Amino acid sequence: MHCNTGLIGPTFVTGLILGFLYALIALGYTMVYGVLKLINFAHDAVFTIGAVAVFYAFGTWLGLNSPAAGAVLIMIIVGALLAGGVASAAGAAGLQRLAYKPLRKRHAARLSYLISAIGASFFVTYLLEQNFLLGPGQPAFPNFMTSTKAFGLFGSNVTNIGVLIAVTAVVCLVALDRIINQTNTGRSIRALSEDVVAAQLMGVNVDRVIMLTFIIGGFFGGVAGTLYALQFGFVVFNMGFLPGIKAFTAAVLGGIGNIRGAMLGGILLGLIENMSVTCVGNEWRDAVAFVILVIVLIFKPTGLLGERIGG
Amino acid sequence: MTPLMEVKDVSMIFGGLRALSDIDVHIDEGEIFGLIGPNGAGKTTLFNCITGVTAPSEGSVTFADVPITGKRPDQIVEMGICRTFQQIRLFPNMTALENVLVGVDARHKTSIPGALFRGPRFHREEEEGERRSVELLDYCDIKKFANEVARNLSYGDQRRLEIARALGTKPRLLLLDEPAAGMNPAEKNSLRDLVRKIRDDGVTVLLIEHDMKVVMGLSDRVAVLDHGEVIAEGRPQEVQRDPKVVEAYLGTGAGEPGRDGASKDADG
Amino acid sequence: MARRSTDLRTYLNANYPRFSGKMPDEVVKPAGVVWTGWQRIGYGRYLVAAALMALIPYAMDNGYFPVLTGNYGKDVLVRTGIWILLALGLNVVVGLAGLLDLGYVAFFMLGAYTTAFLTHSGAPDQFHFAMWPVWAALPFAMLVAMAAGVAIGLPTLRLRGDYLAIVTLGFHEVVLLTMNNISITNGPRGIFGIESPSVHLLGLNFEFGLTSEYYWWYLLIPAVLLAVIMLRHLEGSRVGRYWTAIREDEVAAGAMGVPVTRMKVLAFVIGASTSGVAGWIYASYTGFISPDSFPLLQSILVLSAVVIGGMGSIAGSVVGGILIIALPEVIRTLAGGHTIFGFDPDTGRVAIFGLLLVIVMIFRSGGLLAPKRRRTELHEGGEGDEGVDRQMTRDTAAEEDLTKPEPESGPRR
Repeated sequence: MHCNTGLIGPTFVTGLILGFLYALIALGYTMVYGVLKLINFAHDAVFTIGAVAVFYAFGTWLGLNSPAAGAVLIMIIVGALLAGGVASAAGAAGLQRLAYKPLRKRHAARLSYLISAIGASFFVTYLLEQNFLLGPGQPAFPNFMTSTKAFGLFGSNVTNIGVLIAVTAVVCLVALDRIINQTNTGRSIRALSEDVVAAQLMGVNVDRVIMLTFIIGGFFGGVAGTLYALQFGFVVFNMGFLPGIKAFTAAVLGGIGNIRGAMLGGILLGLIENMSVTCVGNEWRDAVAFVILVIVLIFKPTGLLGERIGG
Repeated sequence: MTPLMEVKDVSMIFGGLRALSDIDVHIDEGEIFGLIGPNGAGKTTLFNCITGVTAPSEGSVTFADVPITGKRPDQIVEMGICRTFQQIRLFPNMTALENVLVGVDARHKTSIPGALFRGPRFHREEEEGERRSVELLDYCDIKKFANEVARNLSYGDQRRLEIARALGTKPRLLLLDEPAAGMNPAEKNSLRDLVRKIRDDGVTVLLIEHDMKVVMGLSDRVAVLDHGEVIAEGRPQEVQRDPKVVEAYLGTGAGEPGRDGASKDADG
Repeated sequence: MARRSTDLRTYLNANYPRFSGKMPDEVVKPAGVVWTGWQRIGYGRYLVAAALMALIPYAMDNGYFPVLTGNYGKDVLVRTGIWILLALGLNVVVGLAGLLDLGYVAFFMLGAYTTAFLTHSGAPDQFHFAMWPVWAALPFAMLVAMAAGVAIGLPTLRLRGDYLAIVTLGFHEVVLLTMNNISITNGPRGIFGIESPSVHLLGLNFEFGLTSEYYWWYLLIPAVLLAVIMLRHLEGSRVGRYWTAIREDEVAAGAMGVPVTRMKVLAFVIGASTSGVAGWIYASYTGFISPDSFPLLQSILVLSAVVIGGMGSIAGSVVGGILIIALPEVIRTLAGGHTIFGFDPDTGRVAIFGLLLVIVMIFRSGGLLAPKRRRTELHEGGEGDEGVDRQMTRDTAAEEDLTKPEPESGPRR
């Protein structure tokens, strides 16, 4: 295998930035897994909803299709990230209410949840593909932030969007860590993921906590979706699919159900995936995550940090 | 006579917690061996070590002179050990007959091609399996429920069905995990008769039980587990008088019934 | 322990009385075998089924099917047949063994490409492993799919069930990526000119080809019936009981001597083999394959066919196959346009069937034609509001709870 060592620097930088995004998405998988012990297959659709909502709200309605600067830019960015997060949180809440809760109330078998989630995911994805919504193409994301070089690192350029992604991700990750480990809500979530019965006996409102988990996970998914669309400059109906699989891999790599594990796994996966491209070639990039997933499942199915929510 | 099963120096460590330490027990062919101890003493953990659900951290288990540590549950069933569960784990939507058939199938040899092409062995085994399953249901007094879905059976009958299913695998050693839990006195009595009948028909029985009356009345020998250690072993009458056993059951807490009841609820 | 009746009407009355009042009896009637006489005539029923299926081309030629006529009708017929075959194979995995395989079409793809590599196909410089007659490629299409099934199933199936779903999803993506990127498949340009089989029997020559599409249907009849017999035989044997036991309680099944992992891999591989055969038929039928012929949404559509038709139900798979392929075609033609209420016929299907998956899971988890046991099984537990999600805790904790010490034996973490 021939490795192009000259690309290590640049791939490290892109890998780190993508890794932050994977970490944000992985949070959604891992939190839902923590409380429901289920893979939320519809999380990729939740991710897409956030990006598409910002596309419609900021591009179509507000028409913010020209570069902004200064305080205006910051306001737009914060607004877009919040809008994306809220839209995805609403999507996740709706999903929980319509596709999961009825099953939970009837104590359905595991398979039912998985099928229901897959159905919901494909419903949203292919509804977006219809011509009355996004259509099959790749419409451009509102161009309020043009990608420019912020500074150089390891012989490659870090763009302003890259910086934005890193900063946002770190803020989100720290905030979530605080929420989980230091608030009552967080304590309820942790309690629920340890033992449903005991948590309930201790007065945890299971329905409310599950809903909150979906909302929090969805919010970060939406933020990630918006950043992803900003980074690549377009939205497309199935944009959530590959990041979804990869973020899930990241969650498993770090230890599914473990929030810090998801952060670690996301960043590691981003780095491994992008840096391995220097050896295997860019066309195989998407296979790397899958290979890692299978290797982790064979050798360390509990992941690097083990399957525990919280720190 | 070498014992049927020998548990040697078995320890089980979860994280820092020593759930079992250096357990040494042997079970002779044809006896009813009772395993008692307060909740959390490690009885079910020991069951899990024997039935291959978990491998012990240290030590070994031999069955009929063959080491069985590290074998898969289905291999252990094949060697002749089968169990029931503390919390009933039947196949709830299969009929009673089908439940027993799954156990009986463990002794069948029909291969995949055999099942696909339905050769003579398939028909012979299906017929024989169904006959034997009905016999076993009859043996456990639940033949009338043969075509009833397992979840519709009463609690006591579900316990009996679990025993019938386990007997289907033709065990030499039958492990019963609290078979009398949740039964009324009449049901307990008939359960005692059933366990004795099973032993008299040549199956060795290892019994975990909370109900002292049941254990002491049934067992030939009893071992008492506390905090993962065997604190007493011997004939029921001797063990009952052992000061350490009295201490374990009465000395540390608010008395046995309360302690027992409380922790069992939390467990459920 | 009192469990509720699972009759749909009772259920609707209890939970959605207003909705129930609006539903006519025909819609809510309990599903089941329509005519039990099928059972009484033994294997003769398969001959009857074969005869009925063989009559379809005659009916089609005489215009009994209003929309599906001519070559278009034949094409829809053959494709529906291929999908019924796929659905039957996936039914072993999802319906009998209760495993969620989302990369089912990857095995279909492997079967098709194996066929292309083993027979006369493509441009003169096309890569081949061999230049065999098409028939000789059939067992290999099957074997390659099975081998891939073992390779993916073995590491994954030891673990919790939902990992399989995402691994198969990823597996499909990787196979697709491989077919797109390696040179011997021509990448996205695909392989054309895959040979059609021919039959020389008793001095009669049947040359399969696009002009004689009914031959494909006649080839599909035994394939579908064999898959049906396979499904029935496995279900009614110890293998089928083992699968049911694993679905119901994996830990208990293991404790009763069921080799859990081996049985799961087996189901997975049997499903893959059927998919491989379908791939062989598809490759030689269309004569052209490219990665674009096997998008992920096809896996979801096969899953929809199985689930909506009814998991574990053979009639359900057949109905599902018709629902997924033939019905949208009929609607498209009747609508006369390129879209149906704004939905693109190809991709819109996926949206609608995705929604149907959710609806079926919530309201009728056994599907349209559920075998009796399924109607109770997928909706476990009682009326719900016991508060504690006991069933789920048990299901999900199944693999772990026995490996932990007794809960009261130490401080709770």
